[in-house]
Amino acid sequence: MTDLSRDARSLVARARGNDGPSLQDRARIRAKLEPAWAAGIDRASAASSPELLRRWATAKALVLLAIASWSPSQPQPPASSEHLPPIAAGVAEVPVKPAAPSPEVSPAPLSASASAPVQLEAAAVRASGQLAQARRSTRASAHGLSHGAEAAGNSVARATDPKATLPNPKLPSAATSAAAAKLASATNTSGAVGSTGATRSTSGVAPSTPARPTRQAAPTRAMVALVNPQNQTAPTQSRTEFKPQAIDDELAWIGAAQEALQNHQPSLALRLVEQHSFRFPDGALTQERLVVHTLALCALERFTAARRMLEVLAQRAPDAPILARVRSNCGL
Amino acid sequence: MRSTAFLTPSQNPGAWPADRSVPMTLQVQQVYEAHFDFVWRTARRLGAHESQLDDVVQEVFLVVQRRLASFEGRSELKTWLFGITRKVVYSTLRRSGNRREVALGEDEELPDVSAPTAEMQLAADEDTRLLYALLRELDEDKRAVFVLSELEEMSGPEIAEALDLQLSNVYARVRAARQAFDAALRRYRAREARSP
Repeated sequence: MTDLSRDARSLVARARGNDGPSLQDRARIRAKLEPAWAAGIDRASAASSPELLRRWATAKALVLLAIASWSPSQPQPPASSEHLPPIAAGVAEVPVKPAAPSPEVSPAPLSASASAPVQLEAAAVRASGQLAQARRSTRASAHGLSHGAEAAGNSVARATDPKATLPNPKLPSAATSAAAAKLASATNTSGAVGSTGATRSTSGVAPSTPARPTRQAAPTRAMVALVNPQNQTAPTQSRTEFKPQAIDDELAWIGAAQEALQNHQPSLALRLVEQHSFRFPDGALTQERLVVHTLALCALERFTAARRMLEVLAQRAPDAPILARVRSNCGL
Repeated sequence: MRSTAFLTPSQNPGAWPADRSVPMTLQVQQVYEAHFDFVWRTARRLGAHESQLDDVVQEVFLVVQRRLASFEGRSELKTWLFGITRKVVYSTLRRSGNRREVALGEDEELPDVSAPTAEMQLAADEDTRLLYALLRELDEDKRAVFVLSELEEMSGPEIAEALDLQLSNVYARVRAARQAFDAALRRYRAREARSP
């Protein structure tokens, strides 16, 4: 076989091994990747699993519903732990320690996940319309909204699946309910906690039928940690360990915070998102937490802090359509 | 000196990656720790510009994170990573439209090389810069095969696996890549001799 010339061999031998990265290069890229590793999944990879995508989408739909339904002019009723979900009740009853330093202060840039969610956001915006429609059409039934949230989430999942057809934004409520009913059986059999957050969100709408989450693990741990502050020394989510369960736990917290906001209890919502921030510093639903956090600050008329939070959100997802909606709703 | 690229593992164990059997519980962090250097230098050698390097390497490991569960260990982890890196680099270059644009001697940032003296540092930097410039004169296929055979010292079967080629095609491409590299170096030496 033709070999290299002596000059070329010599050059290759000299240059080989001289073009590796420095320790700083290794550390810099690692720092950028760590949020994705800690979350266990990024938005783009959610698309690879229908189940994960559905949970993502459900969380998205919950937050968008919170934005759509939240109005700063509505009076804020006194906080009460009655009819609150277990997480919220725990936070309301127990004095909360100041939250740990929030990662929102210096979010690590993550170009792939920051640029990817635009399509998902857009689909979620469409789906939130379905969710609201499901809410209107099934107001009498808490289960209806629960399933509506799931159906909306599922629609987002379908919308972001390149193999699936996009959802019709004007989907009739009957169709939404049918989809919800179909989904309900699947949800019940799989025990997915995507439904937990959605179910919880219904209790604010129909307090007479307090919906209990299908899985209690996250609330129980939350309660224990709140009652025993020493348990808060370490976040429950490892930064290096892959935990598919974590997204379920995150969804429970974000769902409870969203519900508190919807019930015009922004102080409670604030404490819940702070707890989420403490437990999941780089969680998969960090962006959703930032949205609820900003809205809660606005509701408390802490506009300077809300602006700061909005800037952090803008840094994480500069192109997200949700950004404009938060800004508009808050009047920032 | 004879190239060691196509020696068998027993003849040249150092050139034969040890991770033939990859545990299925492999985590992306482990892959990062073990193969970050490989991904970084492969991205540079395949033509990623310094300004694109961070994004390219980051994107490679995000792809690894997404696909690691589906990696069945039927191929070498290193060759699998090479395939991902290659696709990410070339798609980045296509997007930026500068696939073969950087001519020899343009002001690309020099690598961070620690050498005992400034002269040795300069010489090492010059060698690296020249190597990259010559690599850019090769077409995409020859560049990839040259990087694997001459710089990574991979075996023929490994290259065939990494580039999804028949073994006979690998040998033909390596031969062509070496000829092209030699020719580019000769042209460079000739220009160097003519310049004052």
